Amino acid sequence: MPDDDPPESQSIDDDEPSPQPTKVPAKSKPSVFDSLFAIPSPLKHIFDRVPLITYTANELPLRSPRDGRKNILHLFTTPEDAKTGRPSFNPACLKWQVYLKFTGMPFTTVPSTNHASPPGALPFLQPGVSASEPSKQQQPVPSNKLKRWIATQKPGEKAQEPPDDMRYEAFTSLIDHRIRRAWQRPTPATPLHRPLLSNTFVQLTIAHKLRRAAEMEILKSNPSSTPSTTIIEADIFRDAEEALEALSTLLEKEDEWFFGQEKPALFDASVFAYTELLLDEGVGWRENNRLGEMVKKHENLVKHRERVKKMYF
Amino acid sequence: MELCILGPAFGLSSIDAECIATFALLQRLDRKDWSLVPTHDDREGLPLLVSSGQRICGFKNIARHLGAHQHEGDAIALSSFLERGAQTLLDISLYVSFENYSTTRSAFTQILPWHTNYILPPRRRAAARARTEHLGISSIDVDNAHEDLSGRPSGMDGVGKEQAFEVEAQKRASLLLPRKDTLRSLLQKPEHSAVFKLHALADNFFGPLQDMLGEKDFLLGADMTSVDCLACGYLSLMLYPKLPQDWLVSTMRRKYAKLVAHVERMNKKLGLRTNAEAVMSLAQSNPGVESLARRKMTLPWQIPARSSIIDIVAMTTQELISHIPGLKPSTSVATIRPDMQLFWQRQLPTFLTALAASLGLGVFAVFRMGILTWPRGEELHVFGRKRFSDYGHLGAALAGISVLSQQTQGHADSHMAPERGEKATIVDVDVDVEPISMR
Repeated sequence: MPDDDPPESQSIDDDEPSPQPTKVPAKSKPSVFDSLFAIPSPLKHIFDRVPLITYTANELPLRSPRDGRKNILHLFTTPEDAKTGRPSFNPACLKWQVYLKFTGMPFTTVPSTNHASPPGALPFLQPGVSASEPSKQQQPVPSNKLKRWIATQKPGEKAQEPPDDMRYEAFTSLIDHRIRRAWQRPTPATPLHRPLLSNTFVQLTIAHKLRRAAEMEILKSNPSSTPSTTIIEADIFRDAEEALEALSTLLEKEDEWFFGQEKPALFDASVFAYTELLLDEGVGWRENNRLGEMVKKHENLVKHRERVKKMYF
Repeated sequence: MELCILGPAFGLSSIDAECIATFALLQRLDRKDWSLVPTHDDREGLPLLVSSGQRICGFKNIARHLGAHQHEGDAIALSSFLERGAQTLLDISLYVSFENYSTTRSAFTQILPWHTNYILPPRRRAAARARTEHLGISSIDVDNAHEDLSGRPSGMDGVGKEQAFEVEAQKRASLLLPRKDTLRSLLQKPEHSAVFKLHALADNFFGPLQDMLGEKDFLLGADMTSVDCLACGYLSLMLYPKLPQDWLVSTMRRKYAKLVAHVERMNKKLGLRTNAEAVMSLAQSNPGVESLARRKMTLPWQIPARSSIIDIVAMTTQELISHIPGLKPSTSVATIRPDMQLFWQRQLPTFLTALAASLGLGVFAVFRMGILTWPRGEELHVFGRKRFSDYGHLGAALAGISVLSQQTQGHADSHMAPERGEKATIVDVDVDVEPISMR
């Protein structure tokens, strides 16, 4: 009954002092229609007893950026760590988190999962609304396009080129290949993460799936000389040890960054991602952390990690 | 000391890159006491060095055993880079690409016994595809033409996995709406974009390698090292085979002449070229002719070992069983310390599958044998169905006959009870009695 609204609003004005001053003068001239369709007064008294409730506004949808101007980096991290900006516990996420700090881009971190990211993998960055084009919808930036995005955000600075050293690619493959394989091998020292659900069967299944996925990754990156369903742990850890030795020899002096640059670059970020997680006690390594022991043997890698941590975290 | 490698092909000493590299290493070390055995048994991995009771597998481990392993950071980084990048390129060019795979397959046929021919090349091809599927270039692999897009990560552009249906639909639509073929649309077609991706991959690998070689004779200075042998192994397998899709060879020869020169220099120095037919004929020839052929060869090839019938049967059954889902051989991990997982936890999927299968079989057997009976309800009545008795006298007669036969077989009780209208034993026959003249 739409025509009841004017008389109702007037009656509610009597009950609750709601600021509707404009309505009253507009309806001061009662027309013929109003009197014809006016609600009879007994009913009006009944309706007066039912108050008009205005509900609070709904919350914004979860995905909409709350603080539109900030860049949000989605990582694997805990909610407490995300608020304080502490390092994530996943090496790939940590690498890009540290790299963003190196370049000085402002960002906030948000705990997230693989399912939230459009390219299907974390980390990814949700850029904030840019000052120049406030209406343009920003696309999320996956990790492989992050470097290019940073270059577009800072057009004044010269883009950080990889060092001219021809061994750069070779050493990058050392980290991505050998150390990553050793990282994926769960040992008794691997910290137990918080169980998602308390149901035993779900936990068993998830643990089995994760272990199987890690094994498949290692099997895929096996050299073709090993038989197809075997993982030889001794080889993996020996390769990782040699890789760490090589990295330590590369970083000859202790107070410089890799490849002799003045400012830390992507390579430093990659090395820091692994050393930080291996040496950090807060992650919760249990006894006999083989990889951690291997890293501790090289003083300059330990000092490199402490330097980065002090400067940027 | 025996070195077991996969057989020779393409004019090289083996069809596998690490085997060529190990062979080159042994040649470089110039030892006199070793022999070369072409084999197909890769349960322990190939290349395999059998020396004084020890069995060592893999180029790195063999180099370490022979004392030729290098510990410098540069050498380690270089060998890791080679393993990673070259393996991808070789996978794509030899195994994933469908046309090239037929050439590789025929090369395998020459060196493998008949039963392994159906096991080893498909297994290597599956491994190669698993390693390279994240690159998204499967348009050169015809087997994948009808694969669905559900497993594709959404971040990748639609390279190489265009559905056939879409292409057809687009072709028909283009007849209605003529659209000019712009350069961009041509370049974005899957066959072209796959080529660009492949060239980008090759450049990413060869570029840094050539930079590291520079003007030097060998990769790490003026002397040949084990890293050079590893590089030679991978690069010769890229350079020498004659394949239908030869984008790799043409890229190498066109842009990376220094690498080509390096490979040819190594091959000449170490004498790595082999005649595959001569080596494989060693196995077939009789002893007298064999020594003559052996003397002609400069390399210490041995007769390949023949596998017994038991081995053949075992290998075939193992391969067949491994294709049954749920019974796949679980990853065997050679661990340094005892495995923390309990035995039953590792075998859990197999155990569950076996349990479900036996349960299903048990239920079926129980019902079949009559220990339990499936509960039966009332007989079905289908209205509108024409029964024999509806067809008049003859129908009633026929119905009577069928009922009689059922009675003799002893099924009458269960079928007769509800069909009261079907008591067709009563046959109405009209008899016209006419007065007949009595004689």
